[in-house]
Amino acid sequence: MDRQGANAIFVGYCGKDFATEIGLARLLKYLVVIVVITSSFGFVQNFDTNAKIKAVFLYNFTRYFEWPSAKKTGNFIIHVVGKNEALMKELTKMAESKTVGNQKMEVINTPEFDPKAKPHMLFLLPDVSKSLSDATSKLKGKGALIIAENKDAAKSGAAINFVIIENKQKFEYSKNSAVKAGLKTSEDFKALAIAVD
Amino acid sequence: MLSSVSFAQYDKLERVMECIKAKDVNCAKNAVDSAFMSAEVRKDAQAWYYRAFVYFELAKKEKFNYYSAYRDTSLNSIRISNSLKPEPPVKDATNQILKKHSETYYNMCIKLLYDSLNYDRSQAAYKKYKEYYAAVDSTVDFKAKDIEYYSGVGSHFADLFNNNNAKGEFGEAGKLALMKVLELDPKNVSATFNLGIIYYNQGVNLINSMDLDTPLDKLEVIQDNSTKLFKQSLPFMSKVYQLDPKNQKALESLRQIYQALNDTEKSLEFNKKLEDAKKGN
Repeated sequence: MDRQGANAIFVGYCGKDFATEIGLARLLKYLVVIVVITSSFGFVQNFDTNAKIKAVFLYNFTRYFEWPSAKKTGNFIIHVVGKNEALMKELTKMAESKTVGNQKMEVINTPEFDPKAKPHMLFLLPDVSKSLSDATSKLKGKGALIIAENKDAAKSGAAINFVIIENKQKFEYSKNSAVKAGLKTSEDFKALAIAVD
Repeated sequence: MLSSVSFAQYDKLERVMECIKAKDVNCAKNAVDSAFMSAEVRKDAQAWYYRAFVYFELAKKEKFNYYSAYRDTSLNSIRISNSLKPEPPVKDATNQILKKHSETYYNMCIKLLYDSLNYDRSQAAYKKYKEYYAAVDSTVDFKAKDIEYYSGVGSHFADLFNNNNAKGEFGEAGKLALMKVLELDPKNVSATFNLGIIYYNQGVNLINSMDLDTPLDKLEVIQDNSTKLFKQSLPFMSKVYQLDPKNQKALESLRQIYQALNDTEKSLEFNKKLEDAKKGN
């Protein structure tokens, strides 16, 4: 066999196999392209960050107030008025795993304010903000922390009002309203809030 | 071509060719190893090409082994063959093998990424792919290949992170790779979109993983950090929207980002645009 012939064998053999290799490379290239194009729409669906943040706020609020002795037995009732499914989901999870002192947490949700509910916390969602004055007068001195989420609510009877500042959830605090509701409060709490009085 | 090699050595190289013809690679290895005992053979560029070829064939058994000694021997043989200034046909043939090694490294870089998540090794393999391909063709422009590779890396890590947000390192690896894609191709929609998703999900993850016991001062810090991430997500998703205003995924994403940023007005605006897009308006 002359050397030219030998070369032809080598190159021919090499060439045949090379085609197979290229085939694999093309397949893998195709796979990469598929991955790029079909990359899943990876947003975390059905998770409302605002609801989780509010749940953390509400649980924190239980630490900074002292409820009247008459309300230290039975369940610790959080009454949410209005519609917010994501928040209810978070609060229900919270009630399943947390307590306030020795009291179990109970979360109830009604579309309208119900004065018979006797809550420890009453959270009036924005869609029922008009109920604030009614709730304030009917729950006065009854040991209910009234929380709202509406402009100037802390100046209109709510002890706590959620506000948005620089894209973040914060809260206004009216110590006077908390005292009128029959709650003892902590000075530390005022430092963490936007105090309105 | 083989003027410098004696007839005795020629016989040994002939034996190599016979083994190759018979597709008996072990026989070829023995023959080539034997031939290379001779100092005379080691001066022959074509003999080095044969050695490169035989060891290339052996390396096929280890095509996904980054540290294949057979491959290293083949590559070293190519280097020596080229240093001996071979005739053009031999040079072309060694280049063909070198190109195949380059392709092997490319295949390896993908397999290392997808199968074993060994990104460092994958990048090293990709670098070798480029190095050897460029040695064969110095005019090649790797920009398209870089975009393809880093898009694959970025979307793979983005998917891994989005499926398991606890794996923050995947999110970071995805971001770095996708940033490289955007350096090369600023209008790459897929990379832009995936970057927006990673930043958003990192922000969500901070809040989602927060315990209810989190004290208020720490909650403030978490909100600061998540808000920063949502704001970082925003320009990427806005860019996707600019490039494709009817892109429903971009519209849905912007709706969620603005909601996370507590910008109800903008969130509702994009919700309406999304509804319109769904209706085909």
